[in-house]
Amino acid sequence: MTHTPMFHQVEGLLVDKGVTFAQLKGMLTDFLNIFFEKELQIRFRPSYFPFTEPSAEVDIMGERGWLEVLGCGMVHPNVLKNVGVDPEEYTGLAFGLGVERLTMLYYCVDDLRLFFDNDLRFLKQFN
Amino acid sequence: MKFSEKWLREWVNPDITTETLCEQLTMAGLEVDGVEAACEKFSGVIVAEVLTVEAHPDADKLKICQVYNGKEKLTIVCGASNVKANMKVALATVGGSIPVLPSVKVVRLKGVESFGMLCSAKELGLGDDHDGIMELPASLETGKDLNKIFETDDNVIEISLTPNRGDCLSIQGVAREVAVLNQTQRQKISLKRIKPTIDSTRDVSLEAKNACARYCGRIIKSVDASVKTPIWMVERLRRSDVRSISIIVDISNYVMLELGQPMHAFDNDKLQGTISVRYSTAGETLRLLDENEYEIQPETLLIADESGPLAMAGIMGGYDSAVSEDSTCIFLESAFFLSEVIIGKARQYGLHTDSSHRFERGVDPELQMRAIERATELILKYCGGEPGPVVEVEHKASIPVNPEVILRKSQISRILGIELDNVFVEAVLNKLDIQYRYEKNQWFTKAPSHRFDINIEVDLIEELVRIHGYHEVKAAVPISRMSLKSADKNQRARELARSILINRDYQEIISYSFVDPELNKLLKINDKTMLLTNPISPELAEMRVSLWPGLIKTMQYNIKRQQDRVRLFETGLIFQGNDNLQQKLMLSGCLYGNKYKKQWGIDNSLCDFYDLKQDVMSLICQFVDDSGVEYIAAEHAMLHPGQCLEIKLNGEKIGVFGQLHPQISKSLKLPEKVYLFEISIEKLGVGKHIQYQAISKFPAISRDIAIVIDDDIVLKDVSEEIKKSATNLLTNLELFDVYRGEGIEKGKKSLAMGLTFQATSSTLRDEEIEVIMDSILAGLSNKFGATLRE
Repeated sequence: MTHTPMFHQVEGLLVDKGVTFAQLKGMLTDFLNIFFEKELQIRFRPSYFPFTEPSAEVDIMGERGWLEVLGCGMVHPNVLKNVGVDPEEYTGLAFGLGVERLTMLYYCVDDLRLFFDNDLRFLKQFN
Repeated sequence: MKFSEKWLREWVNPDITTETLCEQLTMAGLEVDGVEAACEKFSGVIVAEVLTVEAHPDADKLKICQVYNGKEKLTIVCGASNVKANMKVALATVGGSIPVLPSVKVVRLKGVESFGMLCSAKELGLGDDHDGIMELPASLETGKDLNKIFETDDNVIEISLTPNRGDCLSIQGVAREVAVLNQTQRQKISLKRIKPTIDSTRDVSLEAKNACARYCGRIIKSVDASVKTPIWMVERLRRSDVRSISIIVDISNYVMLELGQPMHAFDNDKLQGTISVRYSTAGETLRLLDENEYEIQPETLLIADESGPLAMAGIMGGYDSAVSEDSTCIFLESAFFLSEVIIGKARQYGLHTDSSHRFERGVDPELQMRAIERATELILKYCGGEPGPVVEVEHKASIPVNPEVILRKSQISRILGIELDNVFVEAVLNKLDIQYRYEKNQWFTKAPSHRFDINIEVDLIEELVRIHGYHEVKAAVPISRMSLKSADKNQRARELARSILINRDYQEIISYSFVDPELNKLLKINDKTMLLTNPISPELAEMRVSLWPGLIKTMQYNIKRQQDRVRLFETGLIFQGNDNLQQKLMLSGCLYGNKYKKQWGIDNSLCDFYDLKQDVMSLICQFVDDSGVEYIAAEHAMLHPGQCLEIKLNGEKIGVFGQLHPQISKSLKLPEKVYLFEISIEKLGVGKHIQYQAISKFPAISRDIAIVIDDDIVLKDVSEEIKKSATNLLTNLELFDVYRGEGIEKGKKSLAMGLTFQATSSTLRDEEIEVIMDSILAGLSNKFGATLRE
């Protein structure tokens, strides 16, 4: 089971002069390696989101092949324009990652529902 | 989209393995969801001809057939009702193997030996058809291996396309991508004009000009629509999950899969007068190919003739005007409907078709003529017929035209952080069929009509990095100017509350923000709640107005699982009101069960109201100074009337706690002693800012005092009165005994308190304290009628 009616998402946005796709790649690669405390096989795969371009989905190599862990991209110039930021001057990077998804991978939890059942036998494992 | 690898390779055939091909597609943004063998494995299956069919003497349902395999005559016992003489069939020979029978042997069926087995399509894994054996076209050579005929050594590749890449919803589209990725040539099908042999046409009128920009129609007379679809075409359709219906329908589906243009074929004899493309009018109904009758809603685009609606444009054809095997004259449609007109329409009717999917994602606006010529070519080849000229009606203004997009060389590295040389950029533009001219470090480009997703500079930059390969982009580190900000107030409060409660052996939970209206009713939550328009289930139909329902449900869940000590808390938003919604950040908790974890040396008993109060107070005192906090008896619909306190901070209510109302416990089958608290995080602040007070160098003097007062007077009032008389020399006041009973008048109680006095500038003398003690007693006597206990 990978879907519940509720989930948690961490969103990141960095807008500045000189922000690039190469930086987005570097930052997220560092994050994943540090988060999982090991050198992972990571790939950035072209994808589509209406609010970023170029867009990518990030996969890490798991025991049974590639696992999608997050979506990211360079902030679409129209998004910047709409909030009064000049895309000719500024660029931005953005990402969004599912907290439950990363938690499941980190702790080897195989059922998303466990997070919302709140069984004491589950909760106490994380004390 | 699913497609046959062989079909794709007919269009573009780089020298790479299937695995590499799939890897390439995925890494170019056309994510491969799966690859599987196109057919189940079989061997020793050949084309055979049935010579004679006789009834089996000892079995009603079996037949004895003489079958020719190209070399010799064989006796085969067959149970299928459709077997007949002169039929070409699929014969699994002795020694062969089919999916349902790993080893085909000579078997004796009711006394007759059978030297093989005649197979149905399902038995060979070539379809779902198992109404009798598979009838093969008479033209097939007897003895030929079925693996060759069906090209079984093929794979089905399934790709999941992002919504911007509607141009890849065809073999042609995927082939374009593969050619670019491998810098190789692909087959280019040019527009092949078919010469009309008759001059019959049907007028077309575009009434909804902004919805349909181009409509190509053609009459083809004298077609034989009853011929069987060739095996190769049936198989290619099957590998794309499209069921073979009849030759004309199959050809229109085939062209859609091949080129990406959805098409439709009408039975021309069932059409009356001019074809019009128009919006629906009130009260129209239409029976579609799925045989359901639809009441057409407003703003639905229709294909109609003078008698009424014929088809739902871009979604599905109509039942009454459809081609059948008896049709002899057909009218082909190849049209361009604008995606914004089709988007959401199919779903409005609960439909989703290959056609609607493509029109929603966008079809190449210049493809219609090519597609109708291609379909005509195939129809003439397999069904014969006399084609009329194509009537092409268009509304130029509505045909999307890709804009000129300027790509500045400087922008490539500004966005990507890598340099791409001009040779590479131009190679990609060439391969993508993007026209350009280069001038002063800028490319002035124009994308081909099928790349309607390329509209601005960054669209081109994305194409460049996609073809270059995301993996080739060298990672860098963000460089940014930074300024410090303090952490969010509520976040800090939550962290502090968490650490306090976790240290008191509570577990943090997260429950759904959606709650069950039934539970809310049971909990007597009568507030105006926010109802969800589209709840996932009836049990999750309301937004929570309190964290208690989630906590109580979790309590119930854990008690049912034999937990005898449950202490839970949650922090989160509640949603109050409906029209005037207010979101509030709350900290709530519940507790039940043994005071302590089981251990020797401690008598355990169930937690009570005072355990709850202690937890709440120890939490509160970390946030605010005790002096501003009051705990006042209150009432709450969910709490026990005699066991409920409100928390007030400087006169403002910040929370409530108490025992769950016995009626609620009972109806939820919970134990009696369940306790709850709820505190507003926003009103709690971020934690106490402690200020140091000088420590006195002089000794303190202690005095104990015991007074007798009316039983209904509370300690808070007594200590306030004492503080008033004691001046600021009083540094501590402790209640150490409360006594009612023998020696004390009924209705009264004795309070024993210890008082500590200390001055910061001198040593206090006994005489000074005597004066103060007298004044305290006088004050208590005046205010409460208190007497010193003898």
